[in-house]
Amino acid sequence: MNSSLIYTICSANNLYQAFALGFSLKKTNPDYRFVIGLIDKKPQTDFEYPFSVISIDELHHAPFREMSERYSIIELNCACKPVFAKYFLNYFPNTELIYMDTDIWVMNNIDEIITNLVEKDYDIILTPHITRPIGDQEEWSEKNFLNAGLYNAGFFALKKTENTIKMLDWWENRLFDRGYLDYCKGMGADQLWLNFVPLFFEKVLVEYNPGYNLAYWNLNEREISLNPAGQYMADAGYPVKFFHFSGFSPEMPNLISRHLPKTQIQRYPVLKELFNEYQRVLLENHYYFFKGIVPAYGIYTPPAKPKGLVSKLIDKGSWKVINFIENFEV
Amino acid sequence: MTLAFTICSINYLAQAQTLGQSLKEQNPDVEFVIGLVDRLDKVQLEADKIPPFQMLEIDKINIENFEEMCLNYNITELNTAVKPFFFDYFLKNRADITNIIYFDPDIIVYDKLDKLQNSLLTYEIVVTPHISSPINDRLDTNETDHLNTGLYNLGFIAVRRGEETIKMIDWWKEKLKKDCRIDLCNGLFVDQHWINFVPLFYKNVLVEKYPGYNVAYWNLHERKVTQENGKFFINNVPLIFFHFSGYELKKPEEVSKYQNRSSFENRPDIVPLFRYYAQKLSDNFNEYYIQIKCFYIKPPKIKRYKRVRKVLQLPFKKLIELI
Repeated sequence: MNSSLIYTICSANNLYQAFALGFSLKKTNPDYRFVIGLIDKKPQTDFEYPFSVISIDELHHAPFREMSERYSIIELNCACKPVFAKYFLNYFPNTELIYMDTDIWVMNNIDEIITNLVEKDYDIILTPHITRPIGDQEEWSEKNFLNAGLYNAGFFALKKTENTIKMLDWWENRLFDRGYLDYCKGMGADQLWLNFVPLFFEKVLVEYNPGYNLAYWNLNEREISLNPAGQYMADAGYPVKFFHFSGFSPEMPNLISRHLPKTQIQRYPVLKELFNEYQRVLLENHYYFFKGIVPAYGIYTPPAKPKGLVSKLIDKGSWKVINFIENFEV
Repeated sequence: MTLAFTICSINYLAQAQTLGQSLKEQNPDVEFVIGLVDRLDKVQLEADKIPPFQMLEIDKINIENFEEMCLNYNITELNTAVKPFFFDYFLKNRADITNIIYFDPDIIVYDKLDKLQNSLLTYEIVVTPHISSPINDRLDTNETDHLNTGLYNLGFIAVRRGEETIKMIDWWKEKLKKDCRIDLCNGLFVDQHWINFVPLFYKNVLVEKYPGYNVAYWNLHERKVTQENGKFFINNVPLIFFHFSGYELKKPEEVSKYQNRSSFENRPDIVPLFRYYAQKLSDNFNEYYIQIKCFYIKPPKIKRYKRVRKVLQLPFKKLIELI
């Protein structure tokens, strides 16, 4: 075992993804300790948990109860990232910490991250969502990241130093009651706060390596290819280290992400096999068992039923009339 | 050669001239231009009110979409939207100019800009963050306000002629043709929020945390003013420029209309700066200029029959809720 720990956070209904992440790590980076922080009660299963799971209950984090009543499930999960980070740095022997969202899939050796922390002496590593302008033809735009944050909070890496602890204390404090998803008020869960990290704290590396944190928001700016050895490469020369399947559902395997309803996997034929494999692994990891669980903590909203065609038409028509009345000039 | 410019309408000419005078005093070798979002031929300025500075009217720099911008933008949006177009104009029409600095009109320059000129030898673009340390109270303005409106304050930006600068200005222009609005829920706050991307998209960008730059109400929590032999210092380094954002002569006892953290009672260190500024504004005929309406701004549309509209819309809103 090396001195680094990788953790993820989820409610029980996302454990199938966390397991998939764990297995990808086991295959590509077997000497890292991997722990799942569970913002939930641990469900009873008729199979063994393949990885260690620590429930938030075990942390005895006093403010958690209040947070759980305040936040939606996603907000609550996000708000617990610094809580778990501090827990691991305090009670585990590990000195380097990597956080990855459950829907990340590690494809290559990630020792470079640790090298940057230990040898290059960075304390904090973040990855930007995008590193160049987005063209008008895309389904998403730069504006989205002005609201949601410059850096993706699905990945960060830390080394235990005074500076890092200061950052975690600050982040945890802000996420106690300002971790809502409420863009109109300058809040975007845990992620938008990261905008400040390179300004407020020292030794922050903004990692531009195109092989990190590939996801629907940056696929268009990176040239993905398969090399003769069957390895995925980004921008020729950079092995893809990890892919972030943000918004992917194994029930809709042809969509890159539910956030981009018009972008089909066909746009990136080279990725087809990767998506197939990921879908298979999710199903193998008890997707249908976990996805139905209602989380014990956080405010639960059942998924909305998709509207039928007639309702959609009525909806559209009504808005047209409302806007007409609003803008009619007298 | 270095050129510094500001942008305003006639109503802010007291501020712009205060800036110009301060700049000339400390940096006589820097050329100063007032970019004017207004028409001088549409008003009859009194003889002693014609500023002794170069003025470049917006209609002289041929902005492609300007008419559309006037229709869609309010005075704040319009005055900020034209910023990259002025940069573009200077880059294309003033081959003798290497460095271009933008200052908001409500800034005073207190010292030589040597440090900035030096930075521009290494970097192509220099921006200043609103804050460089956490705000630990819950007063206004707070961290979430900066998350909503931009990490860097666009009352200041400096560039050196170069490839990255040209790319950045072209991108910024494109954005501001339509999206220089104030629409926080959709991530928009005038020209400023876009600049969050500049250190990520472009090379050779300096995020300058030097405490003597762009001191303003939003960063007073981390900056202390002192005086020595008539010179101002911020956290013990020389003050280069102070930004009197939101200060109005009609409310001389308020630090800024946009905040409630600092007052002249709890921050006696800033009093001399503001007292001097108030004096300068009134010397520069603030009261005269402030009442002149901007030529390009149409009076806001007044919507009538609001109640009738609401009643008519109600059944359709109910219908949407039902389905």
